[in-house]
Amino acid sequence: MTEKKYFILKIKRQDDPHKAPYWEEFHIDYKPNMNVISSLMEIQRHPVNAIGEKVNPVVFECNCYEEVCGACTMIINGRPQQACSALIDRIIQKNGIDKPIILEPLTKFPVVRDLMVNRKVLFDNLRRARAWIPVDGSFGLGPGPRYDEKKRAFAYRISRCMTCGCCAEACPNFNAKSDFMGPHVFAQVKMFNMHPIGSMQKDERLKAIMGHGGIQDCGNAQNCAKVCPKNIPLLRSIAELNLDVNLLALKKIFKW
Amino acid sequence: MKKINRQQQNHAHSDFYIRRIHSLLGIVPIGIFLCFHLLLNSSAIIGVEAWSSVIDGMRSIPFIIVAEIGVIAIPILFHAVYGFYLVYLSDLHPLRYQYYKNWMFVLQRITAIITTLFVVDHVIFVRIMAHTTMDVMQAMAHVLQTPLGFVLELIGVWATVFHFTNGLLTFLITWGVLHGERVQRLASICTMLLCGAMCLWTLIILARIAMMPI
Repeated sequence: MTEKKYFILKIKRQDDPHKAPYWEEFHIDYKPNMNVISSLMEIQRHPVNAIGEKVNPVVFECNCYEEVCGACTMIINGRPQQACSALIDRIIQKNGIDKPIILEPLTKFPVVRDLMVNRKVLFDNLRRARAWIPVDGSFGLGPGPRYDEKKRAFAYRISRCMTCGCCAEACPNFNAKSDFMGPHVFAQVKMFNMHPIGSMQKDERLKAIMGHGGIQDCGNAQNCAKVCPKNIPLLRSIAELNLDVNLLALKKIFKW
Repeated sequence: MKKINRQQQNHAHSDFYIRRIHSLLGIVPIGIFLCFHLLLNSSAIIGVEAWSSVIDGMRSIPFIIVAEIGVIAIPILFHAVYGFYLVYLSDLHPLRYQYYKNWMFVLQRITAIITTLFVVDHVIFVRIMAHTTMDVMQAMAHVLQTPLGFVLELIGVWATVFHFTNGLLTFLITWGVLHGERVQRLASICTMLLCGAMCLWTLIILARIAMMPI
């Protein structure tokens, strides 16, 4: 007979936004092909911690289970990522079954409870940068201009952004001391500025990211590009926008 | 992350301009000054006479004090003061994110502080308190002739060189010259080679001054 195998989840818990966080361990029976979400669901089914006490089940968010919504983003073994695509088999293969898998809520967003955080600021910041294309009106404008295929292919890479917050979490300049919009904003601005219709409001978006907490607060630590689960071309977006905002500034000052 | 009202955000582009001026000043004039400073003091490698004649030449330029204050002191002061605010603004977590560029980001901020302390010391003892060419040479030589002084001076100079060369890379990104990841990586290698070369060069200069019979 094979002995019963389990792995350990070490979770940073917090009962409500104002209480102090604490650590709690759980033993989860090992099954093949689990991910962090399914292990947390095991806790919901059987909310007993490692020392046998019955506790409140761990609160977490999840939605799509396929790394396209960003809701289950948390810090797993020190790295911000999605819990659904964090596969237990792969973590065990790398670290061994005895090493606890450490789950923490994102640190740059207010904790609601346990692993659930409020990522509202990410969406607010997209709004600050006017990262959309205003096409609503009371009459039809006809077909839009054609989208250059090369630009479309590049824009597609950016469009995979799910505003999960990994980039902002890893960014040293996105914190409580600054109003920095966060790296994801600039990729979106780049994408909408490249769009044939969106480019008509190019300068409005550029002016927005030259405002308080804008692109100038980027310090080139480039952690954002390293942790992005979707390989969004954040570095190129920020670098190209740097040129755009500089040229706009020159135009404004010197009527270039 | 804080809530900010829409009005404030719409007309406030001052952050942007201050940051860009801060970035520009790091290279023009401060970086250029640093290069000339090292180049002129390279004469110490040739010998005491060559070095003293170069210092004499520099000191005899009329109204040099105007250039020293306007082109060197004020830009450095602004770069340092605003730079300290930028160091305060960022969370440094090199241990959680052990990526090369993150280490560079952290080192840029650490060397910022070391460089500022070093420059203050350097200006006080080698410029303000030294009145003649001989004073300048003695101020440098006496520090460098003790092992501790040599090491501290070397740390100061190397921190400055790193801050300049790594700053050159981020300058090129900030001003929109380097776009792609590959070209950024190549530029990163080039600036670090430059850093290594300048470190070696400054080591030779300092070692020569330490060996001078002053």
